[in-house]
Amino acid sequence: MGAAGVVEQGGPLLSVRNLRQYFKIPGGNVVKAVDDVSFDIMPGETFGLVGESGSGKSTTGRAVIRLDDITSGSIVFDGDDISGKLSKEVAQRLRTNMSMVFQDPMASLNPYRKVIDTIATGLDAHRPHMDRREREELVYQMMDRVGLSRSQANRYPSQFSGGQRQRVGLARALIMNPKLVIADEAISALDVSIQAQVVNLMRDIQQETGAAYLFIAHDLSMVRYISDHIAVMHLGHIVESGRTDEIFSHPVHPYTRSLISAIPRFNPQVERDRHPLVYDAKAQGIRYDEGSYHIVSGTHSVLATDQQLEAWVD
Amino acid sequence: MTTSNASPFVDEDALFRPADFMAHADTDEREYANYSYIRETVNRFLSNKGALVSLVVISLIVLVAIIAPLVSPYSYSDVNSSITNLPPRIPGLEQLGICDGTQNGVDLYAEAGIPNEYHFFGTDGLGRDVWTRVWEGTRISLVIALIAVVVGVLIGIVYGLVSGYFGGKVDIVMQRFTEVLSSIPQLVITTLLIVVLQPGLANIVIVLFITGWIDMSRIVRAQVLKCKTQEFTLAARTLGVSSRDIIFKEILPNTMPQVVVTFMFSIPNAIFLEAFLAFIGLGIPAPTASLGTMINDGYNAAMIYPYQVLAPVMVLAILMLGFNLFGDGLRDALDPERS
Amino acid sequence: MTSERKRILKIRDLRVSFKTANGLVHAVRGVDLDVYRGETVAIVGESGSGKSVTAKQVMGIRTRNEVVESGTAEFTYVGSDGAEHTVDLMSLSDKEMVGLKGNHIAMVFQDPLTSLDPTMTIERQLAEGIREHTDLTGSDLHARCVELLELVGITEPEARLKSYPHQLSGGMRQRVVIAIALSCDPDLLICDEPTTALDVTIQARILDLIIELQRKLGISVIFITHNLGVVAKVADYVNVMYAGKIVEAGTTEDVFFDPRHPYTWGLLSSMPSVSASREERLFTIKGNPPNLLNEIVGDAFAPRNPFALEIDFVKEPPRFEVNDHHWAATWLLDPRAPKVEMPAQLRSRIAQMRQDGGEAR
Repeated sequence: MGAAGVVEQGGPLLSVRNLRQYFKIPGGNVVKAVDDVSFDIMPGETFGLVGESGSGKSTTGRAVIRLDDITSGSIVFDGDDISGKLSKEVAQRLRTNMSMVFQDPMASLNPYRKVIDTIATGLDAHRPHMDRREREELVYQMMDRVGLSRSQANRYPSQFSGGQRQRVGLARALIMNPKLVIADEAISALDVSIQAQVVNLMRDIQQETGAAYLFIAHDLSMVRYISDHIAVMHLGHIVESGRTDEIFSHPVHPYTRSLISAIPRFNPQVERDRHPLVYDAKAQGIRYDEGSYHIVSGTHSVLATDQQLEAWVD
Repeated sequence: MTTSNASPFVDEDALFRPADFMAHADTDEREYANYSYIRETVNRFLSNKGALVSLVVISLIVLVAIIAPLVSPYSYSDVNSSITNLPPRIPGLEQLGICDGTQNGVDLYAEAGIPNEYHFFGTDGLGRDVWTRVWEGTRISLVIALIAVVVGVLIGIVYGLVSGYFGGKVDIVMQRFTEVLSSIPQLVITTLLIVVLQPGLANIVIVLFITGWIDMSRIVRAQVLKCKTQEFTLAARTLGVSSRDIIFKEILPNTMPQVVVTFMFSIPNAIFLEAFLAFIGLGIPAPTASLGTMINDGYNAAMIYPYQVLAPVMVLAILMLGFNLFGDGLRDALDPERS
Repeated sequence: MTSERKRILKIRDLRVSFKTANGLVHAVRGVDLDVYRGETVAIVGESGSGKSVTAKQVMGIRTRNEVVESGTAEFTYVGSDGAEHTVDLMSLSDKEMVGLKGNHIAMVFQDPLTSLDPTMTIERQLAEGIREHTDLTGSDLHARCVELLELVGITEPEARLKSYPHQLSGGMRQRVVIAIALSCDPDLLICDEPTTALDVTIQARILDLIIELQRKLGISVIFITHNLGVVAKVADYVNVMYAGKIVEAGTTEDVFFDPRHPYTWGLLSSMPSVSASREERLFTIKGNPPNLLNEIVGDAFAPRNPFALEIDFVKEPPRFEVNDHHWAATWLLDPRAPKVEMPAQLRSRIAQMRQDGGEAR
């Protein structure tokens, strides 16, 4: 247990243990979208959760923020157990202290609501009797912070470009001053030049507010930039996790290695003849339910059997 | 070319200096501001000629239905046995030899002793002015349809929102109920109910709305199911917005295009149903006129006095066609994905 | 490859707009493009830059509200009579276009699932394509299907032919789409973001496949992408597109190692590199791409360009040749312009890339 097994000063902000999320599909089958996942996120850090589509990374994010009811496991956030039915007080704390930024800059904003109302969603939900002027002022401050101009407050989402819309989504997530922001593929639908803007902005905001991020992505290159810790997910399991430098300098699991080798090099002389590693769990005879978590060094742990670990480490 | 606008007298060489961004600061600001959903919708609607014409025709009919009974010298219920079954007589047209109040060469108006009066659509078997009655009937038909549809739409929206948003068992029970209700043919339900409830303005409205809300609830439910999984709804949930606010502030506005379109298509449906009930003798009681009761009355004498049935039938047909074309255009404009 | 290069596609002054209720969107504003036999030309740009619209003109794919304002696209091919023909794709009738599309030009789209029919087996979809331009039937047809699947690296082709699209993985589906595109032995293959919808570990293998096929079959490829890593891997020539215009064009080496347009500088700099440190701040291009509903005066990139000159806001820059295979449309290359160097961060990155490249050889 304890994939991350973080030993640091102070308790973790979020602690996920043995999270399982199974879905029944028509025909009586069960899809194990997330299977025995454990990790910790410390206050103020960025935790990158990486994997391909279907790896269960987004399901994990949705389970943590309780968009779905989990199958089993425990989630402790800021001292509250949020894995079961939420009491009113716990729900109130969860909804104000944890928020989410979504992938699709178009679908994540209601086309019929003005940007000012979208950003104020959290305020309206938790402080319904707030003075109008105060509400406006808080929204304006947030717009300044994410790089939108106040004159845009009364516009509708269709009047913004993709990057601007994602800033609106970020402002909505930050308005209650959350301790944890889950960014679910928050930049993958954006153009490269805009991705960099949003990543920089998120880092700036983290420095100002001390919020922790759960950064979910399929693309390791940006995750590497923003994350302190990384967990690599595949087929519902965390196959490897550790500090960013540990993962990148000593990747152990063959899936992690193939992901790292798939990061494109922007160098035609190198890239043309480079053939990224191929990973096929079935063909290589790797079964995740047979493995257990082994500590490689410090916070760095790998899901493997003893023999596999031996073969991979050298 | 965009460059041709530049003045030829500008000293180009002098412009090869780093730009002063303060002077150009407004360029980024205005970039996406000029997009307007409303303008796009209106333009799409205006480009549909059929819808535009039908909008004008519907407005005209509604206007006439309001004004004509008010300014007409006759009342819709005045019975006068001395002037029954007069043919149409319209000033202006009578010089051309049509609608001059004559039948088989006999001036019936002179015979009835009213040579200076004009009944535009003639009079019926009780001597009532058909013109006044047609518009009075149109007014009643529209009012019945409108009330029935508005009530039905409101019920349908709430039903669809609740059923779609809460899902699960609630949804299953609610959907089975609508299925049972809609599996009985609409005409059977309405006829049975009217027989039980007795014909009357209020009861006809009730009967119309009892069957009218089902379509609306289905359309709203489908839209809710779509919106429920969209990221903006999820975002509201993660921020702790209450179900009521999610339903009414996030989801409801997104169902509006479909609601408006369905509303428009329901009106001719309700008008038709009312006319049908009247036609089989279950309409509102005399002397009140509706298009349906007038067609029913005129039908018996249709071979001898065709104008008595022709006038209400024409108005009914134009109304039905107009509302359908208008609904079509509205759908194209509001909901381009579905058309 | 200099002397016998044979041009098969020559696009000149292509201008395409879209009619919307809010006005005309000028999506492509004067594009010139050349494609030579056996080479891969990449068009790289952000969404809305017009790269896809440009490529779709070659295929004659247009939406109802699309207006071609000007432009020619001369396509040279060897017909069934053995003689060489040159036609202007922009003035072809739909019927003539269908003949060309079946036999000489093919396209691979972003999402393999939407380009395949979910109700038909792979074999039927493949055979349909083949039958349109050959007389193969029966066992010959089947053999050709197997051959094509083998060509795109699908193992157990016999079994796969009987599958339906949903039974295959995303990477496998895209291979099938490529096989269908190749079924007509095209001279020109247009790939519109063929790997964007795929998982990162699969992307590289599809790219390898396209490169391999291109070399083996000697076809020309137009490759549309927003990803510079993909460009570095597949392209011989690169066209950088911004706001409906090509702003810089050259060989891949020219553009990656000697970029001249400030937009190209920005694009290259904003990529997180593998070697750079985590503490380094990502370079960004500030602002947002222009709305092409508005009339663009001068250089479309000027408001976002930290090196912009006053003239950029007044007059559109012409092309300045850097050498005979590299040009850029920026006033910075005008002799009257003040000397502006590329950002130091990018310069050191390029130096590093050259070094890595040297080691790799």
